[in-house]
Amino acid sequence: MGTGTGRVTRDDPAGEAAIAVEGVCKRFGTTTALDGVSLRVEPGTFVSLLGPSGCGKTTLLRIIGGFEHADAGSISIHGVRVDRLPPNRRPVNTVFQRYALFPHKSIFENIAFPLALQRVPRAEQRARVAEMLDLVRLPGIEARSPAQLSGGQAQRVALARALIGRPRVLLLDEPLAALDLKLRKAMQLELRRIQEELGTSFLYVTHDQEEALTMSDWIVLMSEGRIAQQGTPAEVYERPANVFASGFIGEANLLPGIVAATDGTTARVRLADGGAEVTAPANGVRSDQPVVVSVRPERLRIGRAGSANGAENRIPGRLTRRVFLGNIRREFVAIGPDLVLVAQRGVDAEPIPNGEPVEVSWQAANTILLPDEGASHGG
Amino acid sequence: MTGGRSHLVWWLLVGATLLFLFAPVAVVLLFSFNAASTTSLPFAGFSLRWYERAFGDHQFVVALLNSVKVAIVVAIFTAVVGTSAAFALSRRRSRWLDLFSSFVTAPLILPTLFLGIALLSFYTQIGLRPWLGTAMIGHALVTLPFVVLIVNARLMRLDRSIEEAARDLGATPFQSFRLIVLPLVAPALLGAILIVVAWSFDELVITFFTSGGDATLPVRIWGMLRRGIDPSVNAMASIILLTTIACTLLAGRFISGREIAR
Repeated sequence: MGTGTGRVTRDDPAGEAAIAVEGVCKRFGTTTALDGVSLRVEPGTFVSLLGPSGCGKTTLLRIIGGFEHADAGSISIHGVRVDRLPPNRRPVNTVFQRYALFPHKSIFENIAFPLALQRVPRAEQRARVAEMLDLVRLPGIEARSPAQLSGGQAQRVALARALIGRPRVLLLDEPLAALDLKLRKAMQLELRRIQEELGTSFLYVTHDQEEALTMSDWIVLMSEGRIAQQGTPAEVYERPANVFASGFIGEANLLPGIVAATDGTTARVRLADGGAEVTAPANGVRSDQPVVVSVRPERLRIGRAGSANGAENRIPGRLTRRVFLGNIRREFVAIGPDLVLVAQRGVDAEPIPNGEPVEVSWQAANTILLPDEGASHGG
Repeated sequence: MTGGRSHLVWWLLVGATLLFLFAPVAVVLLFSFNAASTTSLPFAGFSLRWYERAFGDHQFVVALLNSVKVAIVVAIFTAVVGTSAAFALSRRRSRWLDLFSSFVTAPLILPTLFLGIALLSFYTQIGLRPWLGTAMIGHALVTLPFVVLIVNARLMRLDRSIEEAARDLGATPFQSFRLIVLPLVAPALLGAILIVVAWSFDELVITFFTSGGDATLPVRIWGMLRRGIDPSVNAMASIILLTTIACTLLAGRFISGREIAR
């Protein structure tokens, strides 16, 4: 799993944001789609709006694009309030999930559509369409019709059409969702290349955490109409702020427990299931507070019982299952009646037969304590 | 196995039904080209004399032109109003629109005799003298649902994000309608218009009640039939038949089955 390229420019927080969303609320009938969302997209960055379906991310994108109207709050694009502007008067363009190419127009007419509306001279239209098709690496397909394109090609044409008007901000609504995995991975890198080449700010909606981690400078994680956490990909992965973030981004073992003791820097937590004790950085928890212990599978080590390795946390268990994933092995270790830990090991690690007693160990520093909000304990 | 036999019975039944349905049509068409001056066998040879005679009849020509006028005016009116209504129906959801939609489609299931009488007494009530224009109103009333339903079905199948993309790329609502929606809806609209023309061209009952002295082709034929059968009636009926069939077949090329199956 990669991280962003770190081109984050947040050193001027008072500067003009490419997109500034302030306290946006939106209700559909009795459902609350957005509940006071505020965020900033810095100019020239790639920001992902990440979350499960129904979390409000697409609604927020549609409000920024002008296809829906917020019940409360404001949207500014490069310092200009756009709340009352129709989509055709907003300085943003959108790439839609299902491409939305005009089926009765040629590829040239599709891409040149915004230019034709502005009555740009024909020669300039031709030059700019050719330039855009070069950018998306589909040169020379001007005369074709949308029906003749594959899904990947159609999405590149849609991208070219959205970019030809040189918007400063591009909105992308799960543009790769309809493509197969291999094409999707290639297109992720393509999108990032194009974004860096043009310096356009991208706001990218996705439900795929890996996609968000691969492409973004900044991830805004949403859940049930609110922002659950935002930060760089490394921040949200390494330091999830809550159980939801921990479970949604990457994989995590989430173990409910009660804080047995804390000295302010480290805490000891008794796991609810199995009663084992775990040491972790205190992260502001108090004694007797219910918490959830979060550990990434790649931080766990599995060894035969009693093998010394200097890790603070060691829990005896039994290997129950092993899944081979090619580059890694995923192993399941039962450490309590209903508690199974997922660990990740290299394929070269010493194989341990199923059912063997083992010891799971990990360092206290790699353990994260999260307040137990009574949320789901999946993971 | 009785399979083969029941098969035969089945085909005989189909054949008999088709014969029963289409034989009279074929007879009219055939006799319109018959040289003999009575509508009976034997066939006396091919001739266009009944067509010549029809077109030589001033009242027939007036009636034909009236029919064409009605068809054109009704087609234009229902195309504009029907498309607008379909657009509203497919874009907004509200109880009022659902009610409106039921009202628009109601004339489709009302008996034309009832509509004809109702319209005539309505016109009389408000002091409107029946003429060709009042017949046009009657035709528009019944044919509007065809346009609304067919165009609405097409709009429903249209991906909304295509329109949103047009708006997003700088088109005003009107530009998005004219440059994107209308061309995509055009085949369905054209099909609907052809169905309207086909319907209007052979409509008798409503026209009979509401056109006053201005006879259309079917009304003229009805008038002639009351004075006994002149073979030139066959020629006139054939003109109506061929127009209607041509419009309907052409409409089928523009509208997919899904849109008619509403």
